[in-house]
Amino acid sequence: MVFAWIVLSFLLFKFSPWWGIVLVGLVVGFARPGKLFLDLQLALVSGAVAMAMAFYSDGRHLGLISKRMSGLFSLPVPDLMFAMMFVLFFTTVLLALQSGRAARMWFKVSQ
Amino acid sequence: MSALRSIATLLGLLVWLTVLAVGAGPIPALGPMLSLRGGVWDHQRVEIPDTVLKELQQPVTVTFDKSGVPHIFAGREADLYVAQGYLMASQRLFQMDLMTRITDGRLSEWFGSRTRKTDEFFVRFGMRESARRTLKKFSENPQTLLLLESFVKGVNAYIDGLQNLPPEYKILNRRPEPFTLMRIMHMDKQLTFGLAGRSFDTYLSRIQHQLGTEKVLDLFPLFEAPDLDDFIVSGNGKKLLRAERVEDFPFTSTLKLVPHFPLPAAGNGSNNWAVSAKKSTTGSSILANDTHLSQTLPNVWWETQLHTPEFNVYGVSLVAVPGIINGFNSHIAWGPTNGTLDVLDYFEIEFENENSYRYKSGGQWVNPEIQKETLNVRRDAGFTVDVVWTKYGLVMHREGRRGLAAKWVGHQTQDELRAVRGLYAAQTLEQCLKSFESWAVPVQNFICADRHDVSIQHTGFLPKRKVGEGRFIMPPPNEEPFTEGIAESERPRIVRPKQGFVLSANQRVTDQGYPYYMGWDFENPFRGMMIRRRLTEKNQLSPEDMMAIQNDGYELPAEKALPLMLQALGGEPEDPDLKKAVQALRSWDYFDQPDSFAAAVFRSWFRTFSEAVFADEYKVQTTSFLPKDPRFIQLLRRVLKDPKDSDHQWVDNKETKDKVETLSEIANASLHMAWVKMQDRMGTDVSQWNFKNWNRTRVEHAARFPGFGTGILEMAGSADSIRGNAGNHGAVYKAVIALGDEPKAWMQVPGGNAGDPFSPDFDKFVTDWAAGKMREVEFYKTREEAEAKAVRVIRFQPAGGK
Repeated sequence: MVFAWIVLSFLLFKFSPWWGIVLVGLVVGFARPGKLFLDLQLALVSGAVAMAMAFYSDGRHLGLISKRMSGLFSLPVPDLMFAMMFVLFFTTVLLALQSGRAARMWFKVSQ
Repeated sequence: MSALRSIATLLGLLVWLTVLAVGAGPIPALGPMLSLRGGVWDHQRVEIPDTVLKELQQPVTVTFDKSGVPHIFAGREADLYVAQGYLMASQRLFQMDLMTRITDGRLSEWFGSRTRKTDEFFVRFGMRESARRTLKKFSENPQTLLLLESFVKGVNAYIDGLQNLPPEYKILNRRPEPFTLMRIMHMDKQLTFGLAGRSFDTYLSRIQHQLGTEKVLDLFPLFEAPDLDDFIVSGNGKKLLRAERVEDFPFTSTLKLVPHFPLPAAGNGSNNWAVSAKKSTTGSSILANDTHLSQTLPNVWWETQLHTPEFNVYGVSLVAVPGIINGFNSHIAWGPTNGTLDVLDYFEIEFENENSYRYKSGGQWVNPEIQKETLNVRRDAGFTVDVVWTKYGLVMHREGRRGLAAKWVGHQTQDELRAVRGLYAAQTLEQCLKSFESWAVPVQNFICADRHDVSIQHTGFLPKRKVGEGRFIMPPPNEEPFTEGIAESERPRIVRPKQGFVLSANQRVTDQGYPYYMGWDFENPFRGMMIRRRLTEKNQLSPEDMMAIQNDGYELPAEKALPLMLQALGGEPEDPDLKKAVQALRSWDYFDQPDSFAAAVFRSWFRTFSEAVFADEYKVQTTSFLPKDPRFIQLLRRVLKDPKDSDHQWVDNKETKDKVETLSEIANASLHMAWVKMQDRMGTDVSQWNFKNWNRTRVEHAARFPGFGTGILEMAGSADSIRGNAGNHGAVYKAVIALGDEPKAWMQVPGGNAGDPFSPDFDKFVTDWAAGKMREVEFYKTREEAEAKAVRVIRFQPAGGK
């Protein structure tokens, strides 16, 4: 599951808009509800993939993207941009998975 | 999961996604911005391949030299500008979009309510209609229209094929719109306002209320002391212009609440000078030019060579504008400085009633022309502005039945692009001067040089004024203002000077030997005085001498003022810190080197001393409107010579009612205050106090994005040295052009042509520029020569072409 999620995150980040992973997270949360621990694992994976992809892209541009963007956000060091990417997508995916679970509960109640 | 928790989770996701998608308050839309597909991380460097452009009729070849400068070779002029538009857009699209929004009042569509006031000002100031009229005027000339339309086609061809947006669009979550002819007009308006939008009439009227006319004329004289003034064109002692008199100003404005209107950046100006063949070591004329504008990345200039069968010209284009503005061809070179002429006057007008815009003119109530313009604001409601055109200009402010109208020469455009286009094929001084006949605004001091000789002309529409006109808010005259200009043949100019050189540095244009009143407000004379000194120190000058002069960081105000300031102290301060500062000042060589402690102390104290003398005398719309520096130096001289001199009235601090301060007391107090200011600006570690950290020379991003500019640079010179280094404002284009059989030129454009902030070329040449290094340019006679030396070649083909 975790390995599949790594591949899925990569493909979604690479080929879909930023909200693509939200839709998939909602569907997965709804279709295959796990424990909070699993959701955390998947969110951690997505955050790490986003961070790694940002790091790779930054390397191709000589570190200038993180340098400029960290200035824009008044971050003390450029590397914090990758931490920001991690937090952003970790939170997004966790909320999406949890929301999928919540939606399933409402679906059950209404039935 | 409880029901409550699941609702909270769903709501949390909704809020989170909304914030990511559209932002909230100061938080930008992080989702699209940081997306790994389509966001900032998904960045591609622009590499233009050989391309088919359906807008072309014949092929165009572009070669890039090792400095990244494009050399464009076209068989037809229209094709040349298509290629120029395409190339410029490929490097500067965001900047072109940004800069052409300013006078169109469209910044708030991107930046929200924080730019609303600026937008409202420019729209109320009539810039939209002014741009429309300018386009109409430009369109009367088929050649100009062809130039404009071809350029726009080129820009749009690039936008149409755009796959990956420049990062700034991703950050703002916006997309480029199709480029239009009006965008070019707004760039023209933006530059014109930046160079000719300065006027202090409303400030002086407020001071007139507080002090009376006589004291205003004393503090802000028409001419400074003879050795503290400089003139581009001198009448050699003749007195054809009478002095201003109090009787010239019988009117005092009744308006009490006139606000502060946006002003162009202080110091928008330049240096230019040229030596003729007889004063040149090369045997041909040499021209030097450096334009002082806001230091931004990307640079406002874009360097290129344009080659067609009709002309071959090298220089810099203004971003979003076709052609070349400053540069040279095989025969002549030209370069401007700002004329700094006051061409913006304010009139107090009377309305029929408090709710009407009908105004009195010649004893009659007259209907103005009113346009309703809509402004859109990001994440806020749009609004409509009444743009009210009267005979006396645009209504900018009203107090009941009284109003303030602003009349600006900048709205009266001629075909300036035609003037510049005429230079491309010019071969002589006469042809160069003739070309400028269709130049109206902004008024510029244009130097032309051919191989043999040089000339300078105050170029543009010069209003014929009565003595004193335009100093204060005025009553409406019977005639429409600014309808009569000084005749072409009477414009201040020097052609083939006997001394072998001409120069300008935004100083006063003429002295009393010129019969027409040109106003009181010009830049400080120090740069002009220093250039004159340097040009007369040697019998002949080489290109290297010219470059050395451009880098001259000698602080002439210090030479003039510092001995007087130290004398005014009356002895060594007791405070050990201040004592150390004074000792440094006494041993200073007056050069603003980055590591100079004395230069930082002088700059801080000079300003603070002047503030301590003058700032308590009056209150105006801003806190920093002081008499010019030469007037302050003159005061020091007079009061030190005679403590009972009438200038002592300004020395006393009016805020201490029971005491009359001496100059020595003010000098000591201001030195202490200067020290406090240095602490505020440079921290408490005195070992870090130097001119570099005081002046804080830096190059900021065009949209002022934090982190997208440079840090503090090691750069010598202040705003008043020839170097023209005002920190965030300075010589963003430097050129030395040695004419001859094979013209040679050296230039420096900090930032180069690149406009991609994620490219290592974004700040190209900035370090060299700060160090004063110049770069020899590649000027090719033929396409074959350019191709042989090119780093890269692109071929643009017409549709169906081979």
